[in-house]
Amino acid sequence: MTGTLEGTRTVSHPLYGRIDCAVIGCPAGETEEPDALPADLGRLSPDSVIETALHAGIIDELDGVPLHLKLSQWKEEGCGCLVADGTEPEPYASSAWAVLNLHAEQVGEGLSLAARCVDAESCHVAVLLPGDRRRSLQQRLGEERVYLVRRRYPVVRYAPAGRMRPDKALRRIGVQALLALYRAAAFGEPQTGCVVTVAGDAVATPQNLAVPFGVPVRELLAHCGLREDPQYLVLGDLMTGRTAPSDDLPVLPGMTCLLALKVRPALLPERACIGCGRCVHACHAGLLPYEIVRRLENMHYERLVSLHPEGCDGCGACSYVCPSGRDVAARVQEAAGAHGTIFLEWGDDDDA
Amino acid sequence: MTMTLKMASAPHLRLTERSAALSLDVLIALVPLCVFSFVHYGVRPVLLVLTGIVTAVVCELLCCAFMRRKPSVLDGTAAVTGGLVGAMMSPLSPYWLPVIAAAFAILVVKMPFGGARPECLQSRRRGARGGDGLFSRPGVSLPLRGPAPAPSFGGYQRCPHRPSPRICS
Repeated sequence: MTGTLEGTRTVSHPLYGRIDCAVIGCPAGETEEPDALPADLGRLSPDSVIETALHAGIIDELDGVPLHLKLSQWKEEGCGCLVADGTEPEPYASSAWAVLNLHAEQVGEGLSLAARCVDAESCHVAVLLPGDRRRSLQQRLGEERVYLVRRRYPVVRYAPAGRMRPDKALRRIGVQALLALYRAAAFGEPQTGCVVTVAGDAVATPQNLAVPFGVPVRELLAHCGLREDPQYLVLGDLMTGRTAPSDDLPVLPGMTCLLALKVRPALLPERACIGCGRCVHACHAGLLPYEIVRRLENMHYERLVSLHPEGCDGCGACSYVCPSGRDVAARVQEAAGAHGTIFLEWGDDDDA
Repeated sequence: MTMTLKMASAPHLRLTERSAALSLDVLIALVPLCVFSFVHYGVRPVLLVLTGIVTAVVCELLCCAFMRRKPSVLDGTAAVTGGLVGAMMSPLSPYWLPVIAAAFAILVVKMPFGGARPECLQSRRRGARGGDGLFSRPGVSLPLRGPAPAPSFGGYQRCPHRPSPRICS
């Protein structure tokens, strides 16, 4: 990335908290395309792949974790099946499909590189696509390397039953991180941007944009156009994204979707829990969300431990299905973060 | 451009099905039971269920008015409570028994503990058990297993459709 350093400022970002940012002015219309021939990837050792990911500053967009850390850990712990996660089981996000559509072969090369690095027994690309797109992808990558996941939120099976061994872990990497890994290994490019889906009912022209990191969100909205001012600006997808307090925030690694919503769907008043158990059926982690919430609200913190609220990954499926409109996921997350703490602090204060 | 943005927690998408729909599902599930009871015992069991529903809804409305709370009968949980209480009664029960049981379920078990939430208290079962335990007579509580007791209709109206019901053979 070329540009002029114009200053620094601190930003309170919904995904990363308070961060110090450098303000860089970039000339408009400048694109960077690799013109060199790709390096021979077959000669790269596992350690050099990890080093490449480190120096290229690659962040996995699935969880915001640096890719070299994940590869190092998986190399130590072993990997049964490595999956390039191209699934987007929610209505707006399509950035993974955009990346696969344009750079499927490069993502496949990046996947092979990562699989060789962690010594994975098998690897494939998991997608959630209609038939024609899936067939197109299978023709480009090979039928064996594309797996169509079941249409369900959240996705729980990323590999066919035969490839999932109970003694070997299944590991996932985002397709954008794999593309960045290939480009870093083949052309020496650092990861300087990402593909973001800009959508929502307030956006005039929803589209996927390849943007450098640090571009303010308002520039993306201005590029796509707004029908009217949105009430909610969501960084991330509908199920897990976080609302932004302003449009002056920069695009950072891990952000694959930007939603501008006029009205948040189905925001109805909360009613009391009727104990229907739908959150239990929806929870792919096997938790009892309504019981966790009940114990949290009754301040039975010491009994939360046996319900393992820390197993929640925040997919939001329990809140989605709750017929009483309750924010179950947020309360389970609260229980996961604070079970026992408040109780013990109260006890300490009383003793003092 | 200055936007006024609101903050909210994920997920930003919700299923549109509400509690009332679930309650309606339960009431619909009661319909075959009522039809079965009607075929075997006449209209009386159906009236018992309806009595329970009406009593529960009225009690909840009164309780909400007394507690100065917004009426919560639209979520259907009171109707479900009354319907299940009535469905758990013997077809030989007098009409005042589901009234007592539904009122007990709503006024004693459900509303004082916060409304729909304390499902752990099982207001429907408590209501039925409360009414049954307080006012049970031979011929009113029919056992599910073993020989049926000799029906004693001494203060109670005889079931018009089938005078000697055979729940268990």
